[in-house]
Amino acid sequence: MIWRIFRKDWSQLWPLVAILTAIQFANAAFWFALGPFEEPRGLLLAAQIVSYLVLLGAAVLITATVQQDALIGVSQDWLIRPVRRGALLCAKLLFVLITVHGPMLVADLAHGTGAGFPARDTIAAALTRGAFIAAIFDLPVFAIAALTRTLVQAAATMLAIWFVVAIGIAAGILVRSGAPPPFAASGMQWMTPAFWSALALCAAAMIIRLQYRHRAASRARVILWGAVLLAPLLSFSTWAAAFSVQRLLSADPASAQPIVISFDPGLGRAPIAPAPASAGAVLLPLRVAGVAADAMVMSDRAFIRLVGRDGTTLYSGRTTVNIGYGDDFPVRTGGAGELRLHQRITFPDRVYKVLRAQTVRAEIDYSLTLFRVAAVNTIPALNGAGRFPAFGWCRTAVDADGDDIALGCTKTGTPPTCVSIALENPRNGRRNPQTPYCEPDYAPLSPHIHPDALSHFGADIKFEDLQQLAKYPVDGSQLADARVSLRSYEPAAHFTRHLVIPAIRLADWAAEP
Amino acid sequence: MIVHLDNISKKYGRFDALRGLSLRVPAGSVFALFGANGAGKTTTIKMLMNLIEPTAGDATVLGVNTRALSPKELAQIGYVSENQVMPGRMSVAAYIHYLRPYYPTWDRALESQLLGKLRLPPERRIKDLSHGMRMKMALACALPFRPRVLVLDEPLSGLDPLVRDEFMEALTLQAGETTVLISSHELAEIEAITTHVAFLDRGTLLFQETKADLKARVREVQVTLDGAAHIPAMAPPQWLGISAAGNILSFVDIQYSECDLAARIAALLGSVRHIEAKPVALRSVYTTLARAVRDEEVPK
Repeated sequence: MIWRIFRKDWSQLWPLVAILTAIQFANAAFWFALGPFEEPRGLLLAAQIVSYLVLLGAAVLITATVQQDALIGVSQDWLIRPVRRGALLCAKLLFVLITVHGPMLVADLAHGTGAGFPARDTIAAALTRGAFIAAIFDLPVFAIAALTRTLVQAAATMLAIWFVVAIGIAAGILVRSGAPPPFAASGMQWMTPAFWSALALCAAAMIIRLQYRHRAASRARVILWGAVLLAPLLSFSTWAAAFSVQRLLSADPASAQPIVISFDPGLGRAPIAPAPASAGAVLLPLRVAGVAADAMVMSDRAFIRLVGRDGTTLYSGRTTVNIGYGDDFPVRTGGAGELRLHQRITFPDRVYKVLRAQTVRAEIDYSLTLFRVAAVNTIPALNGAGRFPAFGWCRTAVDADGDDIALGCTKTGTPPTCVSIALENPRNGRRNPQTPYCEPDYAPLSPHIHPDALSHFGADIKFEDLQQLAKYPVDGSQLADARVSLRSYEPAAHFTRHLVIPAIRLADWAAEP
Repeated sequence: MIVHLDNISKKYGRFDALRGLSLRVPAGSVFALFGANGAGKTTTIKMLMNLIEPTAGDATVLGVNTRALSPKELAQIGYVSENQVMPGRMSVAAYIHYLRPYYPTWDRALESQLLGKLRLPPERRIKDLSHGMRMKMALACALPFRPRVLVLDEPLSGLDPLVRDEFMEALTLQAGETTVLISSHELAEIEAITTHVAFLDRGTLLFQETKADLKARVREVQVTLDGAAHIPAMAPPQWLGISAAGNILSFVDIQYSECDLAARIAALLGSVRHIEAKPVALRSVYTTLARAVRDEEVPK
């Protein structure tokens, strides 16, 4: 019966399958043609559009497949035929698997092997991508299709879901007086899509079961909209709660135990402000001890509380107004086990003006992550090429302006999220400052599903200042001997530290040019 | 009983589509369900086919609760509805070919006979068929497996006379070996094959009985009086559609009995010259009852 329903659907939908297959192969071909540098830009734009067309086409095909034998309504002929509901569901799932994921798998394998990756890695990456797309995209679309009769109804439902979730997120921002969601621009921002995916998967499984078993559309709709209303839930959670979950997922929690952060007035005022000074900025001298060699510490968030002599809280908030990654103090590559640095703390102007001259007690709560080196590789700076397990297939070339080395890497699966890149000349031992490329992802499972099974990352490594203001130790004249050093870091432990400064006058540490 | 409804109710919000409906369809009967638009005929049929769920009560078809109808029972039930949606992109032949394996009792010879009789173009896509053709297509998909029960929901609605004839001819191929439950306004067409009738009004069953009993108790009576006829002020409630013209009084007696008829009429109307009681066509029974129900005259 399954095969019979499959063939019936095929006879109806093969033109749609052919179109989607063509789009999937076009997607793979475009990304293959783009190569590690993802050039030219016109082709990149086309590839990006096509990659979204793949998802759109898959959604249309899945919806059409389900709605060939729609579950909503009382007029469909199949409802009065001796069709086993279980067989119908299996036939639909099989159809989606073969017509959406078959071509996807073949295109991913062709792309991966065409790009020279080992078959085993390519197959693993393609299967992982397919499995995740099936779980977090296909099944939710399938469930929505099972609750609607036409493509237009399905599209309208998806738009309505998007709208309700957006309103929920906006409400969260409103509640936080305009602040972005708690995990925005941090390694923990995986939590929101992971929560959404889990919610969508659970709701979809329940809806599909209810619809195919009982055709209980009312109950299924309650589940759908219940899940939609729950979706913005994380937007109302707190950083502390989320980070406590993240700490539980640490790969090696003990490795952070020796790390100590202390106030280090002996370091003195920052000689030069690391960033343009502003009225409410303080550069707090800190000593970070216990960092293992070749490890680095990143502050994910820090919250400061200023307490008056009478014990009242005078100010409480984040130490920065930035929302970028590693916003509280910069990524530090460790070396000697001890780091001395200035943490930039920005206060609202009105707070700073009132408190700058007062002696207050400062308490800072740090949420930190210890990174350890996962891989170190080098590649010639000039037209270099190399394949590395951690970085994939990498190439280098001088960019069109002639001031940067462009590094482009293509990898099966997920790209490294925290990399330190430096240009060095092994002949004379010179080394340019490291370029951190760190948008960490602390997800325990981080599949790469878009735009294809291969991930791409790259960086521009400066060796000349076209304004002639800066001079680099390894400049253009040394490129023939130079190499690019790539260092990949993986999070080992997430931990917190509480720093108390019993008495401090903000004005004493004000950032001044 | 092939079909059995016991105190079935169906609510759509505040609207009661069916109110405590009980119905029994005997095996081998051709059971006509009639009533005005909105009386609850389609709701009843959709409930029997497990297309909608009753709010209360139980319904069984072939001895199985309709909520638990399995492919085994559905393989013995044919269904034709005016709103049936079949896969539009499939051709007539392809869809019949698709359906065939679902029914262990599918009769290829009967299928060919039906296709010939119904003049269905095998290569034409279903979405390109006219409404009449589509209804014939639905019948062609409902009969070849020789269903034990055939459920027809307004199958003749919107069909031209020629197509109706073709449809009825095809239907009669099956009459006798299957139980038919039919809801239709086209009573003239179905009268010949009907054995039982039930009348629904606003979700309530007014009566159900054999066609023979109905036709025996419902008569069009014409009374010729000696004097001028007038509509009696205290006419019996079973007299419906009373009219007077000259010395002739006409009415439909829904509880007709020959016994003492002349004496009863004479007592009410005076000297009677002649009484003629004619059997009434099903269509006239329906229109008379429907009018009476509309005007709230009918005795319940």
